[in-house]
Formats: sequence, C-alpha cells, structure tokens
Amino acid sequence: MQAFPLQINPEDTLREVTEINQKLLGGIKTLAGLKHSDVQVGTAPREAVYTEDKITLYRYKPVVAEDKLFPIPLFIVYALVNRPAVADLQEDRSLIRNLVKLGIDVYLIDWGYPSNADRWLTLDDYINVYVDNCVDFIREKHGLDQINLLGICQGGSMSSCYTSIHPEKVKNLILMVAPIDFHASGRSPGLINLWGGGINPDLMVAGLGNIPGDLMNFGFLMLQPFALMVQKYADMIDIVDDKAKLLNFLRMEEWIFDSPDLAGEAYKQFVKDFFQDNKLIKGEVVIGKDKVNLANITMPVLNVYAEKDHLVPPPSSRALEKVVGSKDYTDMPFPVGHIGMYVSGKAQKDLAPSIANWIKARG
Amino acid sequence: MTWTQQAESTMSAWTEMQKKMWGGWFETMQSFASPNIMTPNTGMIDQWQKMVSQSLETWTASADPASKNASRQMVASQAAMMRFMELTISAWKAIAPKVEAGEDWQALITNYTEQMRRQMTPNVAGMNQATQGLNQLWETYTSQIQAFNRPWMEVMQVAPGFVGGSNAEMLDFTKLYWGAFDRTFGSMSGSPSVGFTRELEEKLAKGFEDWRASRQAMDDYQLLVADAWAGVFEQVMREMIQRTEQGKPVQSMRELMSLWTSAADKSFDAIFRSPEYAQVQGNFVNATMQYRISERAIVDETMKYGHFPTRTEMDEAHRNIYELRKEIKALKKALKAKA
Repeated sequence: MQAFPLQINPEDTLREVTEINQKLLGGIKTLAGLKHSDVQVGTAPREAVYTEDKITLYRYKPVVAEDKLFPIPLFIVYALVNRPAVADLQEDRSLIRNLVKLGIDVYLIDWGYPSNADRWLTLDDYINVYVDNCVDFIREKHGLDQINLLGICQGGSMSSCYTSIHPEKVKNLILMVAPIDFHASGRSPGLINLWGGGINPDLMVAGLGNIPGDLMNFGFLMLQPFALMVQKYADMIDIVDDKAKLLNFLRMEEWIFDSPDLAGEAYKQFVKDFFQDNKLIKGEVVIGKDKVNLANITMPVLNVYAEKDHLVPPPSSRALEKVVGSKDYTDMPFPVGHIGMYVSGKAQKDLAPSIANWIKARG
Repeated sequence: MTWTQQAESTMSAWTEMQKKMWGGWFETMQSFASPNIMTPNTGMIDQWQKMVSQSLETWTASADPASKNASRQMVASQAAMMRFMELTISAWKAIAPKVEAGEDWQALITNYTEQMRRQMTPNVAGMNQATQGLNQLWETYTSQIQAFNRPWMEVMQVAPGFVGGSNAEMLDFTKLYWGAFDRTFGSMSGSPSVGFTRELEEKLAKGFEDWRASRQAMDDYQLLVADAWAGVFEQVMREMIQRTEQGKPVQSMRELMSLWTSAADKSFDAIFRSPEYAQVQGNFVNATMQYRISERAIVDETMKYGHFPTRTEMDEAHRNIYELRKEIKALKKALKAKA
C-alpha cells in the first residue's frame, strides 16, 4: 500500500468548504423567507361531510362532470401513524388528485390528533365505529349498498379487518403497502417487526397513556439513523438554490414530523395482536365482539405493494393471497420503496390509473 | 513522502483550512450583525456550530417550523462532515508511524478501534461503577426527583390561597416531603415502613428500584450503541484502504461523509437486526416505562396534598366518559336501526 488513504488538498478542501458554506448561507436565507403556507400539504380541494369525536370524513371535490364521475365512491382509510397528507403532498405529487382527475369520487377519513381523553379508544372503536359510520354515511348519501374501500399501510390491515367483519358493505377492496403477515420477512426482515417483539406494550401504555408521535418518529428515524438524520440534510445543501426542489423537500419534512399521538389502547392491541402474535394471518384477531376471518373477503381484491419497501416487506403484504376467500385477487407490485409509492415518478404516472382502471373494470 | 509526513501534512492542511473557513464565516456573521459573536480560538468546530446556531435563531425567527428545523439540520450535517474529517485524520495520524514501522495495518485499525471502543464505553460502564454505593445512588435519584417536581411545586407556591393562604404550610409540607426521602433510605436497608408517610415511602422506594433498573438498562443500551459506533469507524477505515488500493483514495470532505454514511447504516443495520439488540432495546424501553409508572405514583401521591387532580384520576374520568360515550353511541345506533 503506497498512497495515503486521505488525499485532501488544502486549496481544494477550502474551495469545497467555501462552496458548501455559500450554498448553506443562501439556503438559510431562502428558508428563513418561507411561510407555512409555502410548505402546506394535503391541499386538494375537499369538503368535510361528516364528523364524529375527533375524526372527519372528507369528500374531494370532483373535477370531472357529474355524469363522468364513477358511481361507486372510493373510501380511503389511512394509518393511525402519521397523517394521510402523504397521499396528497402537493399538486404534482398526489395519489388523491390523480384519482379525482380520473373520475373517482374520493372520500378520506382523517383521524385527527388523539388527546389524553382518547387514550381508551380501541381498534373496535376505530374499525367498527368510526370506519363503519363513515361507510354507512357514504352508502346512505349515494344510495348504495356497497362502496369501494382503499386501505393504506396500517389502514390496510384495519380495512382487511373491517371488510372481513362487514363484507356486505364493500364492493371491491384495494390495499396499498398493507402488512398482513407481520412475521413474513423474505430476505430482509422488517426492523419494526424485530423491535416490536422486545417491547412490552402494556407497560408503554401504562407509562405514557397515548404513545407520543415523536417517539414513533424517532423509531422510524432509527431504522436508518445516519441516512435519515445526517446524510439527508447534507444532500439538501445541493438543492437549496432550487426553490421548487427545496419546497418538495420541505413538504416531505412537514409530513414526516406531523405525527399524531396514538391512542393507548388501540396501540396496545395493534402491537400485541398484529406485530407480536401475528394473529391477523392466523385468523385470531378479535375486534370488539367480532373474530376477523380473512376468508370472509370474497369480493375482488387489489393488493398494491412496494418491491423495495423497508417498512412493510413485500411478503408481508403478499401473504393476503393465500388467506382471502376472493376468486378475483390481483397482486400489483411497484418497483419503489414505501414512501416512493406516494412520491416517485413511476407511482405518480402509473399508480392512480392502475387503481382506477381496476375498479372501473369491476363495475 | 512517508505516511507519517503525509498524515501530519494533512492535519496541518486541515487546521489551516479550518482557520480560513472560520475567518470567512466570522466576516459573514458580522455582516449579518450578530453582536454577540465569539472570537475565533480553539475548539473550532464547536464554536463554529455555536455561532451559526446563534445566527440561525435570528435569521429564522419567523420562518416556518419545517424550514427552521431543516436549516438546523443542514448546519448540523456540515458540522458532522467536519467532525468525521477530523476524527479520520487523527486516526491516520496515530496509525501512520506504525504502518511505516512495518506493522500490519489491519491489526492496527483493529487495535485503534478497540482503544476507541474502550474510551467510549468507560463513560457508560464507569457511571455504574462510580455510583455503586447506595448513598450516592440515592442522592442522584432524589436530586432527579426534586428537579422533576419543581414545576408543580412552583405552581403551588404561586397559587393563591394554597393550603390556607400562606406559604408556611407549603414549607412544612416540603420538609415533610423531603424528610420522607431520608426516612425512605432507612426502608431501603430493610426496615419496615411505618406511620403517616408509609405509602409515600413505599412508592419512593419502588421508584428508586425502578430508576436504578432503568439506568442499568440505559447503560446496556448505550454500550451496544457505542459498540456500533466503533464498528462504523473500523468499517470506514477499512473502506478507505480498499479505495486507496483501487487507486481511488478519498479526496474530499463530502466523499468522506458519504463513506461514513454508508458504513454507518450498514454497521447499525447489522447491530439492529441482532437478537441481542432487540432484547437490550426492549429492556431499555420497558425499564424506562416501569420507572415512569413509579414516578407517576409518587407525583400522584404528592399532588393529592395540593388539592390537584392526579393523572390517574384524570385517566379514570376519561375512561368513564369514554365508556358512557360508547354506550350512548350503541344505543343511538340500535334506536336508528329499529326506527
């Protein structure tokens, strides 16, 4: 070994640092001038049509003529972790806007921000009360027996439970990056699954009441601590002089760190029954008085998953195929990661049309 | 040029570069009229970061919170780049003479990492050893509990009409409270709890045990993380050598930063996926929660004296409201279905 492993030249390094500093200064000036309205997320036009406790059901304003609107609405159920705004980050990165443009009548449940008063809410309340009441509201409003249901991430697991308990109200079930078999890992087991096994959710809820969103966020950052807490911001230096790119970055930051607390009892049940004991795939989950049997899902199912998902490994989602009772089951992989499903160019171009076409083909 | 000469020259180039960089920043900061700016001397990276933080606060005072956070992180990432550079140069400076003396560089890196690991871990392990004595542990615990109680103590002191309208009773109560701590220490050595403060004593004793367990669990966790850091460093050094052998030595701060990032996440990922990590992390979280539960019991007990509702009482009230609300909803739904 002849050469020295670190060949820094003082002039080059000084130039490099000066360049970084100049960008840094310019970036800080730009950042300091930004208002909250510049980085707002979830801005697609919508109307609150139903509220109950802290939840709100929104209907997105159609942009096609009434007669072009697909007659069966699509009801989106997002996870309790983080906010659903990721499905509508900005005008050109929005699954929701894309679906609306394709004539889909979109509804979305916003869980709100649970406070200490909501610490006793269970999964039964979320699934058999809030989701069910929203479904009934939409059915009544449109004079329909059944509607289409789209469950995203944890909202997908919850939608599977809902559909197995109330199959008569769901015409088509669409799941997106939804964990079903929480112990299926493939080549690379999800860290969340591994870590979930070591904690005692009873103690956590007894100690904290609701689980702070910041704590959950910290857990997500720890999945790739260096990349997410250091490198990401070092890379940001390269885009600070491009306002459009900077705003994209900041909207994502806005979404990531807008983390509601999780209602204690619901969290406890989800961690114990789903993560630790993997009861969903085994047909052992009980929501309220109802046992969840995924074989009750006999309507058409579209299962969209991300091939590079580090939070929900593909085998965890794909496991659904073996347990549902549906004869019309479609797997739809996308070559992206968990978040890429909302923001990647590929997903922006293909995801909404794929979902809309699949729904329309089933009447 | 020998490795030692190259390492020394790299170190002085780096120091010189920092001085120049510091000068540039200093002028810029002054132009932004930050009056309390420090003058440059030693500990450049720390000072640089402090200075930029001061200015950042001023510049981003009215900015959007996401922008403010991003600015802070961006500056921190630059400081991280500089720290990695400094750490790496120092390591090569230490290793270079031995490589020249014909020692095996692989073994040298392993030894250097081992030294680093030992330097990082005594801070954690030593904490336990240093506080083995119950007396000392108890003092630390009580000082933490006192600090924890301060906010509500202050509220009670300024609350009008507290315990008969004067602070005298408050002081008596405080004495009683801290007296209980002393007496509890007796109960730690096995004497049974008796008298008026028995319940509080027992809760304090339980809190002490849980606090000790949570500290132990935290130390175990930090040891594992320190170990991971040492692993990252070793990985970076090895990759630098690999790149040099391939004729692509690291030539810039950002290249080095990328190397650190990829090595760090690989090394952390390996640790994070180990059953040991899941267990240590689980113990840490669970022990912390157990202590928090005990802590709440102590706070609840002391809140009662001040006529304040406790967290436990609030939880009970919320639970009752929740159950009533649920019942009403079910009744309404049943009525609607019948109608």
